[in-house]
Amino acid sequence: MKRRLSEIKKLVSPTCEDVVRSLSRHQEEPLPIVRQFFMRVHLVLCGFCRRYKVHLRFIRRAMGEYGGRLHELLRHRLSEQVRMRIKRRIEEEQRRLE
Amino acid sequence: MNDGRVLEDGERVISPDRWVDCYGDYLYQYALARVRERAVAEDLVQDTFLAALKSRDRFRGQSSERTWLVGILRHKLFDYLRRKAREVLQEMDLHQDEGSRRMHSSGFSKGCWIKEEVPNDWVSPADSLCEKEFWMVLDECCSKMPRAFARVFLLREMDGMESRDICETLKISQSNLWVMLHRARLALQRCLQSNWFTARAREKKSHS
Repeated sequence: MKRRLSEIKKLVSPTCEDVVRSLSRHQEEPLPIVRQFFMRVHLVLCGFCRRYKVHLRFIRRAMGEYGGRLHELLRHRLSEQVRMRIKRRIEEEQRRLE
Repeated sequence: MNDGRVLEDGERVISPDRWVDCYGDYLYQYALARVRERAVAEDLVQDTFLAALKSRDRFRGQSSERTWLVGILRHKLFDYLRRKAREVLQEMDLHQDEGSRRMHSSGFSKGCWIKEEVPNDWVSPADSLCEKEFWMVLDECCSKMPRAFARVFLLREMDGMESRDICETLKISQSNLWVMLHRARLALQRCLQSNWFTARAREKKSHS
């Protein structure tokens, strides 16, 4: 009974922590309508969580662009030592396969 | 040293002796962006080349040679991620209060943002996407995130893989995936805020 009550309380009056978690989940699949409703009520009242929601949207957009332009944006290169090591391994493997 | 071979449709493929010089950095960056560990990324590149040597005869040139190698690398990558996901789930208590470091954990304000941790007002974030430094900061933030979370988060957000596909590929449950994505987002939001948006606002203030 006590547990049931605390579940209902969590649903109708979610904390910032609950809402932040819900926002993330909502990006994966739509929340149940009732949960969505109470989340929206919280968002009307809480400026911080509203900001967090905007930030999540920005993060999604930035990450998508980052993935598409990764090779143009960054230049991580193999070190000379590792390059030599892999070349040697390829040669060995080629000899073995011949 | 042989000079590679010519496929049936006349397209040339590069000799394995030159693979490392031609494709090494590309594959390394591809792997590093997703595993966030240099040594692991290096090993994945090496394993990719060795596996490619064995299946080289089967490559008919339907795609470019680089695309073919990336395909092999992705297989190796998923094997690695699957192994890691299982280890992480065993080690980590996923049900521990994930937001607790940024939210009050007890008292009247339980579950509310801690004052120092609240999301700030990010000024014109879209402009950041045009700045090279922003991408370096984002890249660093992704590397600083707990790796276990970063790995699934990157598949989801960088590669745009659907949640369901990630769960199937890595053999993890949906609720575990949600927890990991949520924690990764919290961490990235905080990192971008303190290392980019707050720092930039301070810089602008000092200029004016």
